[in-house]
Amino acid sequence: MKTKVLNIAQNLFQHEVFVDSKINDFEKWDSLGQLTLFMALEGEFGIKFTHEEIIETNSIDKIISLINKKNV
Amino acid sequence: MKSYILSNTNVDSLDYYLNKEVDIVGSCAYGNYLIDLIDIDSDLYKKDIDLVILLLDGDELKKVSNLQDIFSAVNNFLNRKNCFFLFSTITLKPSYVDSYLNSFSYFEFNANKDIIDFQRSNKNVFILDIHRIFLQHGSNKCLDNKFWYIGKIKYTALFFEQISKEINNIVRAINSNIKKVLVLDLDNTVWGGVIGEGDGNIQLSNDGIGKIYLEFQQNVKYLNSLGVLLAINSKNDYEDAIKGLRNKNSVLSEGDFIVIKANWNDKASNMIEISNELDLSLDSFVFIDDNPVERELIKTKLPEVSVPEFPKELYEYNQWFISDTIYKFFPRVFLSAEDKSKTKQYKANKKRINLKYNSVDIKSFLNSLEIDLNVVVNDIANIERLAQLTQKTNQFNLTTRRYNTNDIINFIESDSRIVYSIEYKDKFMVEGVVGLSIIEIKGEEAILEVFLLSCRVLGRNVENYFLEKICNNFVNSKVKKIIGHYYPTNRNKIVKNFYANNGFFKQDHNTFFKEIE
Repeated sequence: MKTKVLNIAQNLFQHEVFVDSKINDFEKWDSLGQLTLFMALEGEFGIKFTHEEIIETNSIDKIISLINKKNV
Repeated sequence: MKSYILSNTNVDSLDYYLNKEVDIVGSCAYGNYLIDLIDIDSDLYKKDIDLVILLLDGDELKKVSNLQDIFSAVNNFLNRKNCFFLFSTITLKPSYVDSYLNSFSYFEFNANKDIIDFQRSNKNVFILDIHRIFLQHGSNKCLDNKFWYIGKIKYTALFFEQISKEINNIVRAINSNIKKVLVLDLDNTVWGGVIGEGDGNIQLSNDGIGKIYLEFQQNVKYLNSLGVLLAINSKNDYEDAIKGLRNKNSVLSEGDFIVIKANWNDKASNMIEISNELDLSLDSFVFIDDNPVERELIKTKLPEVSVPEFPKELYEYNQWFISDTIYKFFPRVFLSAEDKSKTKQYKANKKRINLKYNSVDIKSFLNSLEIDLNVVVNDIANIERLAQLTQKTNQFNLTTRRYNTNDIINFIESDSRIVYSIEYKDKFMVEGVVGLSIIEIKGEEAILEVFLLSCRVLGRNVENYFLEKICNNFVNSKVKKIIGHYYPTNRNKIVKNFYANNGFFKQDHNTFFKEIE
């Protein structure tokens, strides 16, 4: 799952992404990038995020633990 | 291609999905697409742009705008600016407040008809068919209410992915950055079955599996009429290839192919020869082959050639061929008179140069396949397969002796005979038993009554390994001499020099021998 998240982010942002990467670290991860990333994550993992989660979960490690929590 | 995006919803996420060929240099502020088209001081007019992409959402369009206003704005724009224009079709959401009072399909249908009529009267305008993407994937998978309310984004990641694929293909077509040659394998690609095996029946008809291949041939023929050159690169006797193409049901004929390489050379060398003969570079080639080992060979040795994966399910063959091969590698937005006669032109100009042999390093490729061979003695568990191999194998077969299962059992039980077989697997697949040799022991002599190999694994040194293993087996036994025969048929020319190439000496015109140390 972790590699999948990193791959999705990397493909969208066209930039190397690490577990500690966060919003605004690179050009394409702006607020639109944040929405686009969550759209892709919903599609890939078949889960739904709330508006608040999408706004607040703004780093890769937070995203990974959020998806982990949802899968339980 | 410098592109500018116009839309009545937020589609800026496209920027995350389009490839580098589509370089987005600007997009309209939210909802401003019509203003940008009209205002000659807008970025749209001022910037250097090759392509405008207009993505219209049907529901937003229905609320506010009139299509005729958009058409005249686009016309005015295109009169001032020389660039291509990609106009989308529209789709409405699944349901409306007025429920059954109005037919929304009627609105959709008329709007799409008007859009396509507009496109047809403008040579620089092309259609981006959103409507078909909705048909294929469904509204539920393409629309997302949450992101609409959060960020005015109507569509899902899946939709953006699909629409980007479509835009990438169309841009490639506009740039004429498309492939020129479709290179095909024959057995289990152009027809079902292996024409060199057994009595040479192939599956190609209007029924069942045969229909899959028949339709494939129809699709290939149609593609050829759109200016794509066809070539064959297959492991067959040339005569068998021609026989298959002359099958009474065959839609494709010899004349449709500009080059036919049907031989037992490795396919990478064949591919280089085709490229030389046509004087076309390998990066204009697409290769279709059902066999993963052949695909891997081309991918590793000739990475310029495009080698699409074969569909997992044969029933999906034609759907796969159209959407994953034609749309991706041979997309077209225009068709010239010249395109239609491509094969003829190339035939006239084809360079008939005498080629130096282009050597391809096959050895390193074979090493990468992780081939695992296993020689089995008297394999009683596989007698059906062993008998079948004697019945079906025509080409790599030294003596062409046919046996049934009872014969095989008798050989296994006999004291004077040994039945060797060889199993093959590599990192792609387990082929199982692919070769058979039946040895008769007569005093100090061992006679190879049968030596054959399925043509499926030819060219991978399996035959040499198999013979060597059998010979080694007689070291330190009472056998002092191994004898092999080559009985020519009109099918087994490829094994004519097999024994001579493996250290055997010629005794008479069809008998070869090797002394055991």
